[in-house]
Amino acid sequence: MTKGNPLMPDESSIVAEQFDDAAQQHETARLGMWTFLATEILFFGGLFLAYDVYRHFYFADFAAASRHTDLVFGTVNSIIILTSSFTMALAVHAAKENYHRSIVRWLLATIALGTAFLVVKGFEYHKDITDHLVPGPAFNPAIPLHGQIFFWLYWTMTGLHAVHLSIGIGILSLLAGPARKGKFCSRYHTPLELAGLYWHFVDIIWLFLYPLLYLIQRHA
Amino acid sequence: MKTPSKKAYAVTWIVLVILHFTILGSAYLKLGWANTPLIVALAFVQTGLVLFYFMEIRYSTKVVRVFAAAGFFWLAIQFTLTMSDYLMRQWH
Repeated sequence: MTKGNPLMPDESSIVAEQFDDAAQQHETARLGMWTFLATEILFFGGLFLAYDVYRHFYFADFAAASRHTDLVFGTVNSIIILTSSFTMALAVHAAKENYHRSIVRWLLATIALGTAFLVVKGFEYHKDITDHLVPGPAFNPAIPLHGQIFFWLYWTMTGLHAVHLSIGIGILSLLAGPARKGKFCSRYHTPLELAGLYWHFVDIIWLFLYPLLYLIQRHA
Repeated sequence: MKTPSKKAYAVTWIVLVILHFTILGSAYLKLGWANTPLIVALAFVQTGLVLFYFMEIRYSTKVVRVFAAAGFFWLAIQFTLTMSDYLMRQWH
């Protein structure tokens, strides 16, 4: 380990005084992130539970409402977000392998894919609004009454998901600067890894939103 | 700490996309009540892949694994208790 090389910080410069070494500090940070993600699982879990209860009571209405969601936008976005998780994993991998230029490249790819998801979602929301899928007095009369509950959940869950994705894009944008300056390497990449955990979590939420919102009784 | 190779990430991504289209396709099969359990089960397989490889649970210490499982564990309790109430309300 060469001292003074900015790309390879020595241990004392990256370890806070309450930790024995970099490994312990890194493990602590990961535990903290997983604790936060557990609260996020329960946060979204409440909405999934509400969905489950109402779907149980009003299954036919939910199925009829679900068929009004746009499967093309939903499927395109699924592929986009799965791919963004892949590029995010590659950004963290690049840091571990000390490929400094690759870190920035994969981070920018992830930010671009995240933004593309939001743009597609924006077009989808526009179509949903013109199709009168917003609960309220102007709700599409072709959909049975309790389809409004389905769309209340649709807007809330996809909306909160989009907020989380936007925060993720913001975090990755903040990390792109330090990454370009070569701050992350095999010895220190904790912020990058934690941002990655958050990003993958947002991906997982979508993995459940897609089948539950878009795919109820599509065969009917 | 051991980490997945670039190839492992690529394979994970390809399998995730294949599973995605399997889920989409299976929604058009007339399986009656079995449609939803099948689709949700496949979504859980996808989640497992993301957790194990992208989020590196497979390469994590036991304490990190326990912390990661805790959120899902409490969610399972929440679902079990709530649904055991709502499902049984119709048993008159």
